[in-house]
Amino acid sequence: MRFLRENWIWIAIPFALAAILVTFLLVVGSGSDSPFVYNIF
Amino acid sequence: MSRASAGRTLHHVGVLAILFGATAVSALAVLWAWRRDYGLADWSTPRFAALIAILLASVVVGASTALERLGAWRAGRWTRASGAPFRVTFYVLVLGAALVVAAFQPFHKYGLLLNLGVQAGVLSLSLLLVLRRPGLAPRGVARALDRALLVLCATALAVEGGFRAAGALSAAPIFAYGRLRPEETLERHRFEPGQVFLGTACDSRGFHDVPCDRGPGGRFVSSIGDSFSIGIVPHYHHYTTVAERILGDVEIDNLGVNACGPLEYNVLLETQALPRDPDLVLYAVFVGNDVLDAAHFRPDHRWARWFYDREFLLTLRVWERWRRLAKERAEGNLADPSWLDEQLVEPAPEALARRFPWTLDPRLETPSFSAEGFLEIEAARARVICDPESTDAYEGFFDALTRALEIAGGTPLAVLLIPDEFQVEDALWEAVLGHRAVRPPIDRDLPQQRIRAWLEARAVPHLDLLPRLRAVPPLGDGNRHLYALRDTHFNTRGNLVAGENLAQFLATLLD
Repeated sequence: MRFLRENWIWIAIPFALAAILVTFLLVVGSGSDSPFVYNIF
Repeated sequence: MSRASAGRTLHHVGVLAILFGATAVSALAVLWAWRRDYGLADWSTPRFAALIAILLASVVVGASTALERLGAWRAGRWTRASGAPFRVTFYVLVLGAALVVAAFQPFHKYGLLLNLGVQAGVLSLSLLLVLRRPGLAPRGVARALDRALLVLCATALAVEGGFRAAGALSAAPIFAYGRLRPEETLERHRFEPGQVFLGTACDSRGFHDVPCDRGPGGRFVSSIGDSFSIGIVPHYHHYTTVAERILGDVEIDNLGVNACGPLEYNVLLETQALPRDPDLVLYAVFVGNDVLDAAHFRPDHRWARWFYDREFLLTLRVWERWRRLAKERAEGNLADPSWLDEQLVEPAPEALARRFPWTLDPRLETPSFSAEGFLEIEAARARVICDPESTDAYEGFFDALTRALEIAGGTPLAVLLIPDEFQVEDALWEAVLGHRAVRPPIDRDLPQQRIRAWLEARAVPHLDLLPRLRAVPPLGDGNRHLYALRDTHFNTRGNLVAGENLAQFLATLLD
């Protein structure tokens, strides 16, 4: 528990950044530009 | 029992479970390795002996550490609890999975088991070192390493987990899993009922077709396919509509879903086509990607693949998709908003041409993909389906066709073979041959030769559009312009040729 108390920020930051990244991609890069976009995916 | 004592018991039980579990995995790997399966028969004796020695050492380290800890616990010498063993386990699991997807692909269950056997040994050894000083917080270099591994592994887990959660909860293509069940693919890519696409409202099932039914005394055909069945032309110009107009008394129920292949076609055949009791099922095979698509879904070892198969990994895939998407956007490709405009258009050539001028003049077409992106798509297809050595690639495809014939049962099934653009346009074929991903010799007629031979051996009626499309005289620039500009699908001209030939073909089969 002591380790977690001292290092929780190093666990929280990656998850927060991942959440921001997912949100960013959903908003501006979801790939919904065309129904045929899967051809380049 | 005090709270501290209960916590310590839980800690010790957890650590012992990890140690005994790791020992069991290593022991299982020894048993598998001993069979000399999965290419191990080709290993030299010293190399094989080294593998067995490492796995046996893993068993010994795991078992001895577990038994030593058990004894210490019973003797009351294991009094301190710490999170270090669980963190080490987390690091080994995450880094081990990363190692497997980076260096030990394609996925194979025996290969994975041997890998996990060695990783279990690494885990046991790491725990042995950590448990020598239980309860002591790491200091100095160990502390920095601990923190670095924590950030690295938490980031990997958070990003991959976040992408997969987004893939499960949203329909955003960028998060689509590489390997879906056929039902999942259909669900994800089917249009919404009533959605307007190129001026026509999709029917109540989400297919790009107007509602149709068998007329009095008329014939009814179910046509199954992928994006070619949807088309990138208004419904009026689609090849099934062209064939309907020519035949007059034949209704073609056009069941098309994007990003589908034969595995999905079989689901459509069973759930959508056959319940309507058609006189004939038309199985529209797009040679360009259906051979590859049939190999996509692998139902075996799905849970293990979820963590250890690169095909399932979204972190790298999303990055690559984002890179391609950004490139296409930068060049102004992909998005033609008029396609998804909700405005309905009268199904007549003049009205459609006013809204979509390119339908009657290929010179007005705008590209869907960049020149480089388009060539990559074509080259990726050609290098597999046109490779004389790639017989394995066709196995899944022919298995799916066999299954389609079984599902169809007494209902006649005919196959429409739609060629890829590089098979029809000579200039594109030359460009494909020059692409860095393609290694000659490859034969652009090979796919049809293989598929036709298979169909003829089983007396399955089929229409190969390749010679019909090649018979169209080129326009002034040397190209036939039967496919939309850098898009991969038929334009109006291509649909017309396909529709006219399909009408002749159906007339023969239905008479």
